[in-house]
Amino acid sequence: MNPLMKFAIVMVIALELTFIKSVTINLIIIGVSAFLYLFLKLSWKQWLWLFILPLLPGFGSWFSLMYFGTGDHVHMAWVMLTRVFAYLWLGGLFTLKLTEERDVFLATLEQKAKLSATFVYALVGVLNFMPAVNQQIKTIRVASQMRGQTLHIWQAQLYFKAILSAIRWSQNLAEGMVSHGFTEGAPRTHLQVVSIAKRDWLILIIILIAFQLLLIPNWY
Amino acid sequence: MSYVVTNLIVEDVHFSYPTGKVLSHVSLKLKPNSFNLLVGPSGSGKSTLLKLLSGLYPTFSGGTLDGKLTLDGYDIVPFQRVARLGYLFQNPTRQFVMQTPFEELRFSLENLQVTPTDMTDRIEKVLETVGMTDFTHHDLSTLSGGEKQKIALAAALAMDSEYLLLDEPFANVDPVARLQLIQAIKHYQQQGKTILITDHDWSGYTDMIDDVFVMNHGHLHQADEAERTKILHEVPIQTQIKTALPNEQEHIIELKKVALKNGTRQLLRNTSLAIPKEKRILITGPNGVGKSTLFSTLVKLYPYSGLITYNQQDIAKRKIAQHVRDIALVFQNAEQQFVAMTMAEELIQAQQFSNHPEIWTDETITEILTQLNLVDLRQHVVYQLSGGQQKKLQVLLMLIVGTPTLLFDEPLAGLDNDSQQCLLNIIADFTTRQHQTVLVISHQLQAVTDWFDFHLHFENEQLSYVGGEV
Repeated sequence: MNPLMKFAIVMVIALELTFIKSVTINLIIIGVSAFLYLFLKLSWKQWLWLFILPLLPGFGSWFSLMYFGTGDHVHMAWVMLTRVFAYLWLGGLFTLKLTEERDVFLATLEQKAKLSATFVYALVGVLNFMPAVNQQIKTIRVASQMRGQTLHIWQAQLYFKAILSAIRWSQNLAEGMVSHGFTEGAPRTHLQVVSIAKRDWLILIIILIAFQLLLIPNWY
Repeated sequence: MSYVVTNLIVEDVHFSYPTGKVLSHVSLKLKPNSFNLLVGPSGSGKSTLLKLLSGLYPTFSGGTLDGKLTLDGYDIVPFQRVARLGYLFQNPTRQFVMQTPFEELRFSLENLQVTPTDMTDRIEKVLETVGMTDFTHHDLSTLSGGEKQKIALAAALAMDSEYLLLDEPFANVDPVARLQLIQAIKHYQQQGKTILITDHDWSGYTDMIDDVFVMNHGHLHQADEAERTKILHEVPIQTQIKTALPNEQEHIIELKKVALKNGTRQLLRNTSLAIPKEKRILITGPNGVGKSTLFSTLVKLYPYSGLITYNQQDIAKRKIAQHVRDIALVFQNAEQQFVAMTMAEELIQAQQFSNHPEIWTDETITEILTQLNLVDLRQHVVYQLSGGQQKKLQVLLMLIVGTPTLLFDEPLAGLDNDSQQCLLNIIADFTTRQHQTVLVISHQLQAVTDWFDFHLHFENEQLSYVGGEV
């Protein structure tokens, strides 16, 4: 399925969840997500993150509502706890596979969602730069140690160098884009033309309608 | 292939920053289908001229441009400009947007609105031309400086523009690859293209050069017949590097069964050897073989397997802050070495942390700056110096710090002959006085025939001493 379509489904459902005060619906979302994860072949590390990440915010709001809330607080405590899990597990359906689908996602944004190519390629550049950031910080520290100066994590100079190199890098990116013929607003051709299959639209419509139907009964 | 003649007009061009004039009264006329060489000392304005021609300046630099500089009239947007005029940066690390060579070339061709069905063929063809087919889908950040330069050239060739501007395209390229790239450029010119190249060493393509232009302190003139002949004869003669094999000496660094990897690519396999103390050692080898990686390893910036010792201590057990006070890297990219804003601040910082403050008095520094033509630039921001000036300043700073072992990664790349000789003399003088061990990666071999004590060659996953009685 095209990642942009996935993104759309996830966003719509997540938005609706914000207004739905139902533990059952949240549990259904979590259950369906978990079922889908079985097919996505996650690594054990990813499973671990899925369980650990929602714990703190989830139980945080659970405790505060349970013991300090008023009114319908017991119900809301459970809603909040399950909602945090539902958000994360639902979002994970999109984000956990994003590394592999990044190029298609960005290409869809450019070609189908008609997002400005300048924005898309700036984003591509930034994403390609991310893995280098850690190494860059390390190199900056060692480079200044070679000059006799130790820059500590709390020293502004370290960040000054890092920001400086980020500025240099963004300038280089802009120059690189221009020297390779990129022009803001000009038409471009595409080696890989992204097409969204009819099936994807069908799935999107079915899922969203099914979800709305699910909301009709008065769940706990 | 288009045969529309593009008209590049450069007449009475002036360019200046608030800090000073860079170019004055520059006029340039390139004959169609000619091969032109632009020479001049580092910092004379060669790169600035090329960047102005390519349209990157003054958009990205600021500064004031006067005079007539047009490419078929004025309003040419980048993709139209690139279709007529391609440009290759001096610094290979700076010009990529995408993650792999294939994607980068695809990005360029998409910008030029090339028909998708032609793209893959065109990409494969140029990558073959520069000998990088095996790296089509490799991550660009794992490629060596020389390999990146080949990809950048491939991108320029793929765009098939009428004019090709090359700024020191061979500075980080090994001699074999250099000949390969020269052939590729020659072939490109034979298709009716016009080439403008800046270089300090034109051996291997002297016979291809039509016109020679000389840049001096921002003034440009075309060399007349006599000057042209004189310049073209200044080709450095390729000589044998004269070194001996090391015998029993005191060792400073020892490698025991060391292996290095770059992703899945094996760089060094099971290598054991020793580096003698207070000597000058040259390291050569083809692009991408792992020379820079070896240096990164020695300063603990890169993982390895096996045992490496410094002064008989396992470097894995040494604290990095202490380790790099004994053995420091002079980075290939000069900007990484700077810690302050202006040259004056950099020099004060280096003096403050010098291991030999008695040698580095203010007078000595002024004298050396004069020799390196840097003395008037003290108040300049280091990031705004030219590539060559940055390199010279960087080397000077590291000499002032006076670390016992210095690893120089291509200290001569992009410098003119005079600057190279001058810098080598300064390095030799001060490293001897400060009892330093010096390791140098260099492709500029003609400058260093008698300079080194020993010579390590890195090839086929092996690092070994060469030289001795031939």
